[in-house]
Amino acid sequence: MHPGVSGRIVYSSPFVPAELIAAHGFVPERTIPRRRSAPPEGVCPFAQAFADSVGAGTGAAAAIFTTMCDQMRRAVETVRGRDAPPLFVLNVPHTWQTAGARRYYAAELDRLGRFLQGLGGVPTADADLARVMREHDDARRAGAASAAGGVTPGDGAAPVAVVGGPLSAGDRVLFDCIARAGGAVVLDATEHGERALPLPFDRRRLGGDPRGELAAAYFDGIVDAGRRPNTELYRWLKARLAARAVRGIVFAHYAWCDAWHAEAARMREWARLPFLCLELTGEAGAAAVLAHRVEAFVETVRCAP
Amino acid sequence: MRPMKISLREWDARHAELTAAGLAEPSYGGPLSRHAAGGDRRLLKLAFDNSAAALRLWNFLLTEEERLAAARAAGMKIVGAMKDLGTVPVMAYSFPATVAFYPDGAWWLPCFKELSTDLFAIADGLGIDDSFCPVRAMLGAFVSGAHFPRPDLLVASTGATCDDFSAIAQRLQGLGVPILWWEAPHRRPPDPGEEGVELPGGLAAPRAQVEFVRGELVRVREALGALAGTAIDDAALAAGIRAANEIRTVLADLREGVFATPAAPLPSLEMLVAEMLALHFCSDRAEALAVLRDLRDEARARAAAGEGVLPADAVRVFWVNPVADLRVMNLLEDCGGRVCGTEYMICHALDLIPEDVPPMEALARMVLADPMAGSAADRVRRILRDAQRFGAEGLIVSRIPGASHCAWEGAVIAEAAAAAGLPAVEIEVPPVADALRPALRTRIEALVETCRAGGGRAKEEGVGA
Ligand code: SF4
Ligand code: SF4
Repeated sequence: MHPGVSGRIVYSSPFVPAELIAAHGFVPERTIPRRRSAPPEGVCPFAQAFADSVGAGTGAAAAIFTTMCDQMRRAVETVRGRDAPPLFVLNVPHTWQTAGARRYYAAELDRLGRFLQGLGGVPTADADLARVMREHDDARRAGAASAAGGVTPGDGAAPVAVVGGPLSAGDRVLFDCIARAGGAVVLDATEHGERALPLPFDRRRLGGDPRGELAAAYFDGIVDAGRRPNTELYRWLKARLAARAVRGIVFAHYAWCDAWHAEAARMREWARLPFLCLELTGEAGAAAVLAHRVEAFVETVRCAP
Repeated sequence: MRPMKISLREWDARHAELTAAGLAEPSYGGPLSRHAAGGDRRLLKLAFDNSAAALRLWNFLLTEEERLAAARAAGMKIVGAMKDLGTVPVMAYSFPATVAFYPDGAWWLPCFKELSTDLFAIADGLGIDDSFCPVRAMLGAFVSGAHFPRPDLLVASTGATCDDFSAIAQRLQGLGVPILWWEAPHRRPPDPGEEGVELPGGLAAPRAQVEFVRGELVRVREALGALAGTAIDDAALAAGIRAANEIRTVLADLREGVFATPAAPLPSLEMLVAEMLALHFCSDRAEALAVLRDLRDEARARAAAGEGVLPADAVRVFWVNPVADLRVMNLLEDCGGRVCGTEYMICHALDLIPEDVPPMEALARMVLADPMAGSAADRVRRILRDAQRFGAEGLIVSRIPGASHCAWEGAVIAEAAAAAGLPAVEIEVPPVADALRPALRTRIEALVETCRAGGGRAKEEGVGA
């Protein structure tokens, strides 16, 4: 921690680079929110849970929302004026095929940097940022290596992929349900899984242009249903479904999450694998139904030729 | 004949009367009932203004499919603009032999057809169920190919748009329909020390955002040029902007004249349709102008004669969001209200496009002035300002089923209105709202009564929001 700066910066989107926050002397805290209130009709339970967690006063130095979906972009407005810390809205272009979109994202990261400095964060020299990036990259590579070692399903376990958006704390029970039912998650393609990781940094570029490398790794690396077009999501999945010999897909989306919900039918047709589509509500009471459905699904995967 | 609202059946008699009296109609003219016979069954339940100007408006609106088919037959290029609501058509019509329309307009097909088509069923079958906004009918329309020709070029804005539309358009692309996506970013205020640019509607955005959008529009312009087989220069684009502004000016006169006059010279339903002409000119820019001029002149003549289509004591209501069921505009008037101002999410298509800056920058500014691209707080400010300007006594937020923005925004808008002393209700209007009619009537009547009793009372008694 740099002298004079303390505090956590909370966020939920994978498009917020932890490295930038850390390099400015703050503690990046990627929140997995827990449902605190029943969302009104039409409101995504995850966006509501994140807004509630920020609005309840987390003691954080600031909270970052992104524009990756309409719900989050609007959720931030309901937080203002509550017991919330300073808020920053990071504009993440949905398009990704143009140099302009990439530059725009990079400029947004610069703006985030200025915001963090405005909170008392230290100005970051390129060398400092590069050092932090190396540390985070090492940690991610180590995590990826151990995950790669652990993806081999045990005897008789059905290898499945979990695909979808974010999962709130309560809904992460899905992974336990799969394990208890005899499945093995060999690919976590949710927002907290490998789908939403930046590309490994090009170490040669860290010395010359770490900011450009940071922006490129996040902007080009993260695949998501909400990107336009979202072809990279399918390209990314195709390679991994085959490499990991996935035999079934558990597709999870929140109620009212249009970006992921709209992909369910398309992905079912595309994947040609046993497919379970779960609409999540974040409600604790839904876990029993979830377990039941997952159990039946894993059984199907096991029995599939 | 004095101004009044009449049924479709009465319009047939009125049409015969007008033609006998020498009414010269455009090529798309004729009795309105033919559209109902052709499938637009909702018309049978609507009440229409009885002027020849309204007849022309409805006939113009309801013959767009024929115009697009004729354009295709004539070898013109057809551009499907999606979501930006007002910008891409201004560019497209600046090119020779090019027309543009919004497939988004399929939003109203389930209403016009009274759910008699399979548009929603097709969308359901593709996994786009009723948790999405009625714009999902567009997916059905593309797949069935029954309601508009397949565009030669499909252009969609994304970014700070609703997730409903973006996800549905992506589903369409997943079916193999090519789409040129361009980014319309979330508008933010300039940071301290950052250069800002004034936008239409009294808004502001950072210069960097305007530049970024300009770059995005350059991509669209290039695609349009490739389609049309010729590039256009800034002078041609500026001429396109002037033509759009001419339409916007007439529409502004019309809105001002109708909303500000005590006895509404035109009903709210026709005013809603008139506003929609600003988006893509209903596939004929010159004719859209003529239709609007007719309406404006009719409204002026009625106002000058002290004649209105509604009583002068009708409660003045500001309406937020378009209704999926057009019949609800009639219902407001049946309940003793009238529309005196609107925010149908298209202010940026009504405000004048700046003519004192290079045309691409002007269009970029317009994109960023989209009320849905910014914060709800910005939107509320505009709504309250316009509501005050038009002397609104109450406000209705009509919620769109499934719309990702409504769940967050509706309450914010209604609460802000109530806090400003303007009684407000939020209602949800599905594409055919007949089953909800009694409940909607009760809520609208309650608002009207509250307003009649004095707006302040609404606040004290917590009727608002
Ligand atoms: S789950 Fe979907 S709607 Fe909810 S915050 Fe994530 S992307 Fe947005
Ligand atoms: S009504 Fe709302 S949700 Fe539907 S397309 Fe329009 S902006 Fe999107």
